[in-house]
Amino acid sequence: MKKFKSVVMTIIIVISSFTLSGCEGKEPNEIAYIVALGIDKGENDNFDITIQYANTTQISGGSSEEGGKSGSQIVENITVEAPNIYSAMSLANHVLSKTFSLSHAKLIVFSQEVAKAGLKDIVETFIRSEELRPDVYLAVALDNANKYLESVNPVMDVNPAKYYQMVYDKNTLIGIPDGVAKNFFFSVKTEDYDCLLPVAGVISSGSEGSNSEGGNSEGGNSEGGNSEGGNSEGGNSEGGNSEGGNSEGGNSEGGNSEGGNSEGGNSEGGNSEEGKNKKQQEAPINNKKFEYKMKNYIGGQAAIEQKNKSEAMGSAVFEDDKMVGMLGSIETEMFKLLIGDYKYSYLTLYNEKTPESPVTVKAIKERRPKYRLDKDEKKIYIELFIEGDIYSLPADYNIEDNIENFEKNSKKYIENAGKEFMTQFMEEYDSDIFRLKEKAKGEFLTNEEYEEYKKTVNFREYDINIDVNFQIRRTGLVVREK
Amino acid sequence: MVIIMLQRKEMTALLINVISTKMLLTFPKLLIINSGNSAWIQALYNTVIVFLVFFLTYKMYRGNKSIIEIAEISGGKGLKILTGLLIFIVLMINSASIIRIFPETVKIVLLQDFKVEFIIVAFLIAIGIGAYMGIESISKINYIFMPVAGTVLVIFVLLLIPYYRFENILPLFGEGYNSLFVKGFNTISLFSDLILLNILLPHCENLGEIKKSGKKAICISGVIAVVIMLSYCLIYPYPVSKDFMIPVYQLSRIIHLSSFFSRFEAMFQFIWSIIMLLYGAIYIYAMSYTWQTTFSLKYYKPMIFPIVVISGVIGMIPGSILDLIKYEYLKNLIIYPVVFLLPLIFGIISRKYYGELKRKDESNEEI
Repeated sequence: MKKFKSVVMTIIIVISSFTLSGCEGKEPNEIAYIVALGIDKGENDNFDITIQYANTTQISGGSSEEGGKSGSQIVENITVEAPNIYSAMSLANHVLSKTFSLSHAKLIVFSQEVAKAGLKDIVETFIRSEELRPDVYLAVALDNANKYLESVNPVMDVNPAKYYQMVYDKNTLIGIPDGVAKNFFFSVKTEDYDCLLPVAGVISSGSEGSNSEGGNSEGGNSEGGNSEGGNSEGGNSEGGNSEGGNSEGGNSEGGNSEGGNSEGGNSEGGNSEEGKNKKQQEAPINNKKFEYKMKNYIGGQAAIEQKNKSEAMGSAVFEDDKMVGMLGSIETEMFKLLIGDYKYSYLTLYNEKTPESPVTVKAIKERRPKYRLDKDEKKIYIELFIEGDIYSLPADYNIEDNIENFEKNSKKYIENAGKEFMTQFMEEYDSDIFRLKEKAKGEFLTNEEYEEYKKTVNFREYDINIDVNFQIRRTGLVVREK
Repeated sequence: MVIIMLQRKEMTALLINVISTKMLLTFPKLLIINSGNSAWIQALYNTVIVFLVFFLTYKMYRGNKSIIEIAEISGGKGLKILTGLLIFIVLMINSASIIRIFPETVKIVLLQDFKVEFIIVAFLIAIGIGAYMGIESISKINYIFMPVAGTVLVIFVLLLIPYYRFENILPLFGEGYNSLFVKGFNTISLFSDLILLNILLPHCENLGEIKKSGKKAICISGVIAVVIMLSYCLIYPYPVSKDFMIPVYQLSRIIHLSSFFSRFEAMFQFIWSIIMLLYGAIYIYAMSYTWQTTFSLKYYKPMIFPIVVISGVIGMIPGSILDLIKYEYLKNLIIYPVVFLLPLIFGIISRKYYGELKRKDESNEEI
């Protein structure tokens, strides 16, 4: 009997080791890993879905023994017309020998048209899918999603998934908002707050014959970014030299307009200069004291010339699941400062002693901002905690001598810019990107009471008070005597 | 019939496993559906109630005879068989849903291309072999494995801390006091597996050991339930939280430490599978042992195969995941009165029986 048992056990172990070991389904070299998806409006109420997948033979560790290539060679794009992502994958599977997998997808880009129509149904697919990660990034393409993905040419990276992760996961650089899919889904589903998504743009350089392509007029500023919606005064495709330059309201009436000082993108000479990004010249310059002399960019405007034509900067404003406007990089930065979604950033601040040369400070988040809502008096109290390190200032200016004044003034500039941004944003949009409704949750004991409050509250009636605790902690490696 | 004695710590680990396993599957969803973002308070409330019920039950209990044996003493063979069958059915209903839910979730998250029938059969074979090895092997392996699972849980919770948003658990009382404290009473079924303590009672040295094991297991399982629910409620805002089928898996998917550490679910699935196998093996053993005690059989092992087959067949009855979740909801409503009342009733009976026995002994001594 004992011998029989041993024989049976041995047979079971041998059979199991042959049948149960190894990978089930496809081998890794039979899979095409999708790294990004682009969703544009197609015909017949369908979408034009661009599938960007890793060209594994060109990536380090692939067939190349020399250690991988970079640039556009590491990815391939296929565009198909389909009603949703999975049907697009199913169609594209007939084109490619390998089977598509979404398990390494890092980015999903929507065209403005799609974003304005609403993303609820598409995002539902992401959340239901066990393949897609909840931390996949979402972005809105200034031009169209396909064009953005086609323009991606990662010069420094051999892994395309890593490239997207590094571009969209920069919470140290505060020019783009957090675009993680799960947060967007939460905002749509709970209706407690609204979201911003990063803007993905394409740099159009003169050397590439952008004039024939339409340059400014084709590239987002006139078609999408500027003229539609917000930029009623602007939208001038030839130069974007309107008040407010290229934002959909955000720039024109928002952060940059103080004193009518957004000079707008003056395109004079821009088109004729080869190798220059024409959109860069259209971005309005900010003459306010917060981020003084900086340009308020959106995707595709910042870089003057580079091999990689893709760029992420600024944010698309959403009300529920629909895009309603756009914010530039400075406004996005202000937004992130206000909600505390950053680690550090370089702030360029006006200095009254050296009005021509601003002082650059590395602003580090000391702790999360404090919000307090007074429902009865209709007041919002926000307290920010920022510490600064001096990084750049005019050579002959002794800041150590005036450090207290500088701190006091900087605090005032940030407070004013924050208040102005919040007030103007709330006037313009019904979008609760500051999560104010959520901040009031603590005032209620049950969801029923809170839901009732959500229906009736109007934050436009609220008075905003911002108090910034700003202190210069370090002055770099130099400490000049007073 | 040789009765193998388990150490107290082994019994405690066994109970923690059977109670907490439900938290790894769909049970948190039931809590969320009932009380929204205050589900963690409901888990705490349920733990307190069960602790009190357990305290009361074992205050009554005397001796270390199982419910079935007490039924025989108090009502003869008829009551013994009736009680035995009732317990067997309760155990079967309790385990059948897990036997189905686990392979279904494995198919969804891990083995999409496999037929669920294949996964169920593989799972049944594994738990059948486990039960065949006996309670000593199961409890010892379980005792070795529980600290590993506990460590992973602690790491898991620590990794989740950066994702906590305090606003998500507000308003504090979620769907309201009625949902939380009145309807919320139904979910004490989380601890319905405590019935195993009564069945496996003869495997313990004495009643004192059982009381200590039970109290410790309730407290630790309660803490696990509250921590899991609190983490889930802090990360997933309501009503998003009520949509997901396997909340703990959903939590494991969210962990992402910069670019060097993500896909924690791989670790979770490893722990999850072993815990499930141990859970299944314990249940198959307990059902076989119940049958053996009820019908005074010499061996329990011949019962394993038919019980495994019946469990598999019952597990396959729900047509889809949707039916399965409805069934799970119904099951909780049906089971918990039996599971908590039966030990209390037989606790009172045992008190009476042992009281009489004690009096008889005393009168004999006097004579």
